[in-house]
Amino acid sequence: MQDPETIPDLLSSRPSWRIDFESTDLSVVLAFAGGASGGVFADALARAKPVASNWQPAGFAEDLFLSRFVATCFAVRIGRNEHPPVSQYLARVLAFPPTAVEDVLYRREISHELLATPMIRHQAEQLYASINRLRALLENSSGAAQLDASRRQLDLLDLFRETIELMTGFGLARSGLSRLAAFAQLTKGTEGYRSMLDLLRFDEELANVSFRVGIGADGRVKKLELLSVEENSSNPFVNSPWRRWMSKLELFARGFRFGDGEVMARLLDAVFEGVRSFWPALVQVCGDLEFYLGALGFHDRAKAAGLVMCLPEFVPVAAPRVLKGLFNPLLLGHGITPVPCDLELDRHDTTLLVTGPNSGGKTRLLQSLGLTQLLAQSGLFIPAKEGRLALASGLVVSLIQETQPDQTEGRLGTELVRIRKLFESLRPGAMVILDELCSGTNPSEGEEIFELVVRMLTQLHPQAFITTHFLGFAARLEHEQQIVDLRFCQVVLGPDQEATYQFAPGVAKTSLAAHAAARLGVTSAQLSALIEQNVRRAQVSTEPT
Amino acid sequence: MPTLLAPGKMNPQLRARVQRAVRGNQVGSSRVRPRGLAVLRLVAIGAALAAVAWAVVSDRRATAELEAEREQLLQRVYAHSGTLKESQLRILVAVQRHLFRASGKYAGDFVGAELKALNLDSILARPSVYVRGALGAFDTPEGTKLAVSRSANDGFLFCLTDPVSPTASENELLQATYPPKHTDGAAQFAASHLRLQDAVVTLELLSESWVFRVKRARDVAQLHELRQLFEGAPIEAGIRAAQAEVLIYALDEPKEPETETSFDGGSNHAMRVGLVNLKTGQEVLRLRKRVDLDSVSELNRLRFGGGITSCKMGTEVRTYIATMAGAR
Repeated sequence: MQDPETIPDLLSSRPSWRIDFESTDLSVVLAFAGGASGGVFADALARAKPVASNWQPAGFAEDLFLSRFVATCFAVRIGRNEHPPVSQYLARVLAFPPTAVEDVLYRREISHELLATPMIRHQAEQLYASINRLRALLENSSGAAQLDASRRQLDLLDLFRETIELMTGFGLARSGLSRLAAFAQLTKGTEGYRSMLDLLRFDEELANVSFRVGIGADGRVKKLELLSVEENSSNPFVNSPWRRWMSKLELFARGFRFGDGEVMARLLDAVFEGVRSFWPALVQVCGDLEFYLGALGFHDRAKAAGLVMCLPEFVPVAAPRVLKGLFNPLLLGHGITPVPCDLELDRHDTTLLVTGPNSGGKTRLLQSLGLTQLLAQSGLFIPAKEGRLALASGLVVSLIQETQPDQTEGRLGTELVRIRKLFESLRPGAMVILDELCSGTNPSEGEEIFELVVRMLTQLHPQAFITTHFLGFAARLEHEQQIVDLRFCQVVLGPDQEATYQFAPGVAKTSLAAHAAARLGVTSAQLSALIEQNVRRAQVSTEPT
Repeated sequence: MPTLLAPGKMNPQLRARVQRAVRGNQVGSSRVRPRGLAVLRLVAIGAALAAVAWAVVSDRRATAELEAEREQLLQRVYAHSGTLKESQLRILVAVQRHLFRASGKYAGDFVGAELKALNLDSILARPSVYVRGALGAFDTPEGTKLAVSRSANDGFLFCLTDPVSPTASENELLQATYPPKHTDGAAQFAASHLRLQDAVVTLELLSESWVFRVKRARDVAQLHELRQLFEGAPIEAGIRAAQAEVLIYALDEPKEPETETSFDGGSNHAMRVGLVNLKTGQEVLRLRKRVDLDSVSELNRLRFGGGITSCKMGTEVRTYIATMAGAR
């Protein structure tokens, strides 16, 4: 195990092993020897420990479709090649934003440097591609039979050398990426690495043979003269022919096969043993790079769609919340170009009641706010061109979901259970997102529970966002102003009462259910026409022919 | 534990890790070292090394045994060949040369000075080899070897060395031709009149080509086979034959046309006999006489005609030499 200070951790300001070093080391050794195939990186990253975080993924990951978000938005694109993310790992990293502010800032620095310095980003992409090549060969992901095990191991060592060399290029980085260069220097300074280079040179350049070729007037080779044969005798792996032969004999007597391949296999074992302790770091670096490069890929995709992303400014809770050009990343992930909107509040620890017509973008707004907070506190770019946010101590999201087959309670019962769980785990200062609270019962009784929940929430000073269709109730709360820190916004309608997906202060006057009904063909005239059509069809089918 | 994968120029920390890697007990490594496999391999390698060592030791032991066996056999060859002079080692060549000359146009009867100075018995008392064959059988080395292998002591040699009366009856001649074999006299005869065939066999086993075969033997079994051949050969008799001082020969000219031939090879024909001093290379005696099968009674002619006429020829040679000595 290496000194913790030398671990090339790109996610935490205080470097540590998040992967299980021992098991990863064993997996790598087995894979190097050819005894395992597939899953070394994915398994190690899937079992990686998250950073210290107060956030509970159970409270938001499913409702924010976090896994789908990662799978559709965090692909790493290098040139024409697209590397699918190890989504399980990235989803875990995103689900546990660091509690420590320095960790968030550490990540922001890396994100910023990768975006601001194309050369650094290019190096990171090259490094990621190199590690992936090593990963593919190590895991035999091509599935091709490897006839020459020693050749494969030599190729692996060469890829390892290439990876370390690429890491050296981060010496000019000012963010945490410089840890890669430090790690590379540490690796290159060891005897094991130097021995590995000697072995690779031994493989590539046992001897140099110099010829002089004489070309005649007709262009043909007329003379071929051997000038010199120089054996690279300074290489520690170069032995005399007699010694090489005796080595094979020695190995045979020791129970190995007789041949040059067996000698190389033993040397490979010895050399790999000298550098194996550095290999697990590559697994963690691979996951970390994927985290940042995936985010950059998402940034690029948004940019291609005409959307702008940024690193938000963190402000105190009492400062205004400003989100300009906010868009829904899930829509972008599904190939739909979302309509950006602006949202500004005078402070963060408020409860915002969002009202508006159906299909007006309320739920999309809530998703955007949740993912924005998540990305911001993960040190990544947020789906907005400008953002000023306060850190939240947690996130709880409850969106309207389909009825599940194993659901024992009705819709209201299920919602109440979730509200109960919300209060069981909610920390002061957390972000709370509730979609259509208490919509599963009659409005008069639902409004009572709604008011209770909102009143209780204010005691925890959350950053709460709640949508509702109880327009009268919302209007009353706005008018009475009895609940402290309650704010209201509504969906802005266009000239024809269509949703603009923009939001403005206030409470909506209508849910425009009739508009939705008309759009979906549920007006009186449309339904009557359908009934007449069915009756006529029935009469025709019963008439005698 | 040090490893060859970690040379001294490596950083100590890296070296320690490499050492852990080759021990296979790296934490988290999927390539857990198969310690059991290593033990099995070490056991297998140990067993293989032991088997190789055992094979090497066995091979060396077998090689040592082979070399010892080879050296022992070569020492025996060298020991025997060392007892012979160069001329004795080439006795077959000398015999062939004399017989080839004797087979040519007959140069007339000849009694050498040595025979004139000494009596026949004293010459025949020396170690001698006897060869009998058809005229022309000694024209080539191969023919000589074949004729020598077929040649055996016969009535001529017996009656030449152990004379019978010139007036002896056919029965007496017949008994002289086929003397009893297991008597003191026979043993003494055999010790003095040696078989040239034994010399041929023995000299073959003492020759350079035989030594080369011994040296080229690849395994103990092959060497055992060669040793058995060597031990089965009449080496002692062969060496004595090679050391013979006198060559006694009898060359049968073709038989007279339209005459009969007895079962034991007798016929009417001319016969060339001679003695040669092998030490000096000088001819001692050269005679040509007619063998008369018709002179043998009808009772014995067909069965024993060859033996009786041979014995009669030996007696006649002795008589001729005695007559020549008396004339002097």
